[in-house]
Order: sequence, then structure tokens, then C-alpha cells
Amino acid sequence: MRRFLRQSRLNGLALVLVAVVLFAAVFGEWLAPHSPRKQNLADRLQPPSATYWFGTDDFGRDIFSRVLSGARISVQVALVVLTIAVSIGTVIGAVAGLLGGWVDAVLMRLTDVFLAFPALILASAISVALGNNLTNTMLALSMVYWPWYARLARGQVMALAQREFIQAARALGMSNSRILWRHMLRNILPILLVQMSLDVGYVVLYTSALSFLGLGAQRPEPEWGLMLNDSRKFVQTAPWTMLYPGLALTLTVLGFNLLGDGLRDYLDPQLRHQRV
Amino acid sequence: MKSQSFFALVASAIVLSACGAPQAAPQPAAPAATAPAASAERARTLILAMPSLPVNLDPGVATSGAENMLHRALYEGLVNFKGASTTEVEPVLAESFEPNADRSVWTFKLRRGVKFTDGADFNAEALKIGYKRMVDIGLLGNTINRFTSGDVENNLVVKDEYTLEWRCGFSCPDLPLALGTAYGTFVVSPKALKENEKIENGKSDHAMPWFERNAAGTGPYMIESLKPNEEIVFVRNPNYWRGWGDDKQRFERIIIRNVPEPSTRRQLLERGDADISLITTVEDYKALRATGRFQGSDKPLFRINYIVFTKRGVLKDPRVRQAIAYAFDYEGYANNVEGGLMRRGTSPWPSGMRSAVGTRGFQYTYDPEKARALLKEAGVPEGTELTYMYATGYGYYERMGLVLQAGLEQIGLKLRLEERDEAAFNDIFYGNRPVEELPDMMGYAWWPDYDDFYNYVNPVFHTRNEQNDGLGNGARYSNPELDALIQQSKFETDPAKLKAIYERAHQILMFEDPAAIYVAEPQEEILIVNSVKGHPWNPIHVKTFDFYSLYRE
Repeated sequence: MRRFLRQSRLNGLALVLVAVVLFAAVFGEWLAPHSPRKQNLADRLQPPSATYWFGTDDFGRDIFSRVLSGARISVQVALVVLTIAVSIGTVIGAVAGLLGGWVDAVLMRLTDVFLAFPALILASAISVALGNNLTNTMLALSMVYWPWYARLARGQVMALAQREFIQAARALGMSNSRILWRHMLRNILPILLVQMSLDVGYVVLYTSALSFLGLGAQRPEPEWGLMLNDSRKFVQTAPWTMLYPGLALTLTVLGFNLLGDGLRDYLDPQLRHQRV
Repeated sequence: MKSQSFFALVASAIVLSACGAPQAAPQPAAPAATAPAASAERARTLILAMPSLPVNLDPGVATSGAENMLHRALYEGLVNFKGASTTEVEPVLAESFEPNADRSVWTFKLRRGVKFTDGADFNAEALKIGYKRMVDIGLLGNTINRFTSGDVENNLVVKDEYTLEWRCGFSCPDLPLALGTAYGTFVVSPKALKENEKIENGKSDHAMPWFERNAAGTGPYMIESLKPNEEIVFVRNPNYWRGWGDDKQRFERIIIRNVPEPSTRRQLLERGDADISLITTVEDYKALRATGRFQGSDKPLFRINYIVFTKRGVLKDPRVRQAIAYAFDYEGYANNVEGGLMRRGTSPWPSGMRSAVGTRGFQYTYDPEKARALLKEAGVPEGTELTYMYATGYGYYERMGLVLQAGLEQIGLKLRLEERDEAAFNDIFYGNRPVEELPDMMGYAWWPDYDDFYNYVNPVFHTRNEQNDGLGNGARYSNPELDALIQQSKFETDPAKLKAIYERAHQILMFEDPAAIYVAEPQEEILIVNSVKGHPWNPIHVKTFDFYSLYRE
């Protein structure tokens, strides 16, 4: 940890930001001073004050409480999306890399089909087809992300297959599934984890983008992208309605991206040696 | 994953565009040397920025306010409401009109020398052909149908080229008032109709495809260009019968732009790039009025904003509909969410109408406890999900839905909001889908053609049928007793009996078999820059303009 922090000042910032977001995601519900969904029409569009730290929105809902609740939604979505994407992608990529031949060709062409579409367009299309809600957003983003993990896993598995310990395992008559399970997965897992940490920020951003477009979370969910969309009308009259969800989104994405970059550099042997 | 950065950038741009300037459609700044000419041209041009621009130009087909606004530039009827009055009319294509003794027959003397924009003459025969088309199409023929007892052919009698005898078949003192409406009374050119009509298997298409994108009326303006969903430009009709005298600086061109983004509409008004706009955000409306640069109206319109119930699923039980009506915070919505620019609804038809029962009749209060008790009594399970659909662009439909959503959450029901663009919403609302395929609730608004109970209630609450009843009854509400009352009111002239009809109808629609939540009576959301004069703010002509009366001062 100390070495990780020494590597770059930004790593420290990343850890702080991510810690705050995770803390808000886990404990936000208990910390929120008001219900994030309850309307208080008499207090609509109140500026930040001692009662409402981030002010209120156009239905008198407390923005601070909504931003806190939004952290849970964002982190939850990111975890679910990446878990599904990594599971599917790793299995497909590993099978393709290990078996090669026509299996590899078929699976990789399938992967190419998904990769041929811009991520946001594909996610939007899937969301529209499945229906606009957060569950379908998670499915859509999982569909967008698994091909990247399939490519990554395939490359790693193919590289590992040339290594002596794998060839030795083959020579000893070990089955493909056993080789995959016992030797390969544990070797590619750290690389997948680093990639996941890099992707968390993007998933949060895509989720908000889809919600902003009306394809993700639906009202009255306190999702940041949706809150931004709802506050567009008040850009001149009540800018705080837009400022805080926008800031929360920016800092979350920044935190996870910096963390991912830091981890990548930290685990990259070449970069590590250069610094030494 | 290099390309991810690019896509992330796109995503960021979309999300963070909320923080940036909205997409305006600004006029390019004129170079200094040509500034006076450009400014003179701008002064002679009226620019409207509207939240949607459906462009069915056929006055016999298109029913929305946005389309009616376009029709009023292109077409005319026999009479029009006089200024802001809802009980007086002034002649337009009619020069004068006289009733017989029992007021069952009216003789209209028509204006001479009026031509349609395609060169055809306006006369009694043209009027009859146009009105027959209106009734034959079957969408907006209610008024003509009613006042000809369903027989246009025999009850509109051409006495000579410029005299039309209108036989109602019953005493109809309100006929001129009824013809003041801009819905279903505009006359199209018989020449354009004949030239563009297609008949297949003996059935006429009434030239509807042609009239959808073209116009041939007697109105003050003609189409210069039309870009669907983007912009429509009108220019003066050079042969307009009222002429373009120099007494007032009337507009040479009218540009109507589709500007869906509310903040962009505000900016266009503030910058002087639009003269008229629909300001759908309360804060923007108040801020703009406070500048003193814009005129608006403080009077409530003859209009009710509803959340209509579809009688399907759990909503078949009136207790569930009553519960939902009790779960709506009427005062909070009207006074806070709409900032006092609306009055809470007190009746299924506007409180300013002659027939209003208003607070004499049953009223709902915001009472979640009572709502919970009713739901329990009806056996509705906790967590039941309902849907509410509304048209985009107007703001208040969404706000009504969000207040209802919060109210229903308190009584254990979920509400899913579904937004549709106006054309898609109208397809569902006015279409022929079976009740089972409709959403549970829909946001909707209605205003009368003129101040009359039958005219208001029949299209909205009568069972939809082949006789053109229930045209605006998108939720397919049906109550036989109410149908009978509506029919009874059609010919009833005894004030005491009419009063009894109104009170009974109020009780059915509000409480016994609720058709809707009667949310609020809004005031006009239109703001007009002070330099544009001549808009009378008539509470029946909602969101539309008599373009000829507008001028720049």
C-alpha cells in the first residue's frame, strides 16, 4: 500500500475518492438526513442551507440525500455489470484461447459482432429493446462489456498456453478444463481485476448517460444521470439542482479511473522497474 | 480498450451537456453594414418557438392545439370570438347572420370577393362542400353534425351564391357561438379538394394526404416552406380579403420553430430571437414576466388538465380510482409545483363555464389515509404497479405524474411514468387500441369549442361510438347514465333541468364512477414580447393565435 501511494500522488487522491464513494454507497441510506424520494412540495427549489445541505429539487426532495442514495445505485450497477461481463467474457475468451481452431474462430467472430457497434449506441439499442429500467440497463451494459473481457482473457490464455508449466501439465495428461481452472484462471485474474477497476468509472458514466437519455433508471430513482436530466430546466434559476449530482458523477468517475490507472502502473513490471 | 475512451467521452458529453449551454437555434448576427435592413426584416417577421411541431395542416383531421395554431394562419370560418369574449362572436367569412323566430334556422349572408389561395371563389356552395367534407371525415365534424341534426346535405341549404340557410332541426340559439370555434369550422377550397381527391372502391380519401402537407384556405397566410418537426414558414396571402393596409405593422412572414428544450425557448425569448413562446417551466415563466419585457395572461383558461383513468385491471373498481384521486396533493401541485399559475381542479369541466358545478359539488381532498382504506376495501395488493403515459414537451403532464407517483407511493402503489412524443401519444389516445392495451392512466387536457356543457362533456366522457361521440375519450370511459344525461343536455333548454343534469354529471364523474383526476385549471403558458400587440388572450383559443390581428408596435 505504501509503495502504491508513493508511486504517484494521484493514487492517494484516487483512494480517498473511491473510499468516499464506497462509504456513501454502503452507509448513505443511514446517513441521509431526509428521505431521498419523499416530496415536500412547499420546500421546492430551496438553495443549500443548514436544513438542506445541497438544496432541494423541483419537488422539494433533499438533493444531499438523493446524491448519497445515488452512490449506492451507481456502485451496485457497476458491480453487477462487471461481474456478469467478466464471467461471460472470461469463459468465452478462455475457451476460445484454449481450444483454438474453429471454436476460436466462431467465438471471436461473435465477439467482433458486439465490438463492431459503438458501446453507447449498442447499450442504448439493447435498453430500448428490453425496456427502460435499471435492470435492463445492467443487462445492456453487460452485453457491451463482455466482449472486451473475452478478448483480454483469450489473449492471456493463448500466451499462457506457451508457458512451460502449462505444457508440462498437458504432458502429464491434465484435461483442458482442469488446466483452465487450476492454472490459467488464477494467473489471469489479477489482470482482469485491474481492468475491472479501470472499467468501474466507465460503467458508472454509461449508466448515467443512459438514465440521462431516459433509457436507464426511471423516476423517482435518485440516479445521478436522471437527476441531471431533471435539473436541466433549472440551469439558470436553481443551478444547485445540477451541480451536486454532476459533481458526484465527475468525482466518482475520476476516482475509479485514477485508481485503475494507478493499479495498472503499479502492477506493470516494466513501469515498476523504470521507476526503480 | 482504447476506443472506450472515445465512447466515454461521448457519454460524458451527453451527461455533462446538462451543464452546458442548451442547443439554441440562433439567428446569425448580421454584419454591421446591413444591420438596419436586417433589423427591419426581423421586425416584419414573427418568430414562434414552440415545444412541438406536428404538421398535419388538414383542418378536418388534426386535433391538437399545436396543429390548430397552424390552421388559424391558413383557414377561416364563418365567425370568430370577439376579442377575449367567450359569449360574443364577430363575422369573418359571414357578413351577417339572422335567425328565424324560433331560432331553429339561421340565414348566413356570406362575404363577397373572397378567394381561396388556389384561386377558387368562396361562396355558399364552397362552404357546404367544405363542411360536408368535415363531417364525412368524421374526426372534427361534431359541431356541424350537431347543428345540422346529422344531415349536412339537406340542412345546409344554398339559397343563392352568397346566402346559406342553416337548418338545425331544433332551436339552436347558440349556433353562431358554436361556429366561433377554430376546431371543425374552417373551410377548405373545393377546387383543391376536387383536384386532389382520390376515390378507391367508391370511397373518397377526401384529399387528406394532400391537405396534410398543403393548404388552400382563405386565411391571411400561405405556406412558404415546411420542414416537418423542424420549422414552418408562412408568408402573407397577397389576395387576402381584409387587405394588408398600412394601419398596423402586420407581419410579412411567420416562422414557427420546433424547440423542444424549455431552457432554449427561454433563451430565444430573452435574446429576442423569438417573439412568442410556450414557457413550460414555472420558474422561467415567472422570471421572464418579472423582466417586464413580456406579456402573459393571469386568467385561467377554459381548460382542465386531467389524469384520465382507463377502466381496466384494478381500475375497474371505482373505489380504486377514488383512492388514487384522494392520493393526489391538489393544493401542493397547483400552488407549489405550478407556482400558483394553475388553480386546483374543482370540476370535470372548467369552473368558468356557464354549466360549472364547482365547489357546490363533491370535491376531493388530499387524504392518503382515506386512500389506503379504500384500496384495502377494494382488495388491491400492496406494490401493485400502474402506468401513466403522457406527451412530451409540455412539462405539466410530467409534473402531474411525478406528484401522483409520490402520492401513490405513500399508499403502497407503484406508478411507472411513460413519456411519448406528441404524435405517438395522440396515436394511442385517439387511436383504436382496445382498452386492455392502453396505459392505466394518461395525462391529458381538454378545452371546449365554445362555452357549452354538451360541447365539452360529449367528446371527453361520452362512450366512444360511430356517431362521433367520445372523440377525446382516449381512455374509453363509458357510463350509460352519463351518456343519457349528455344526450338529454343536447336539446334541453329549461335552466332548472339543465342544472340538475350538470349536478348529476358532476357527481358521477367526480365520485361515483370517476373518469379522471381533475387536476388543475391552468392559465396560458404563452409569453409574447411586449412589442407584439393584438393578442386578445381569449380563454377558449388555447395556445393559438389570430395571426392577422398580431402586429409589431
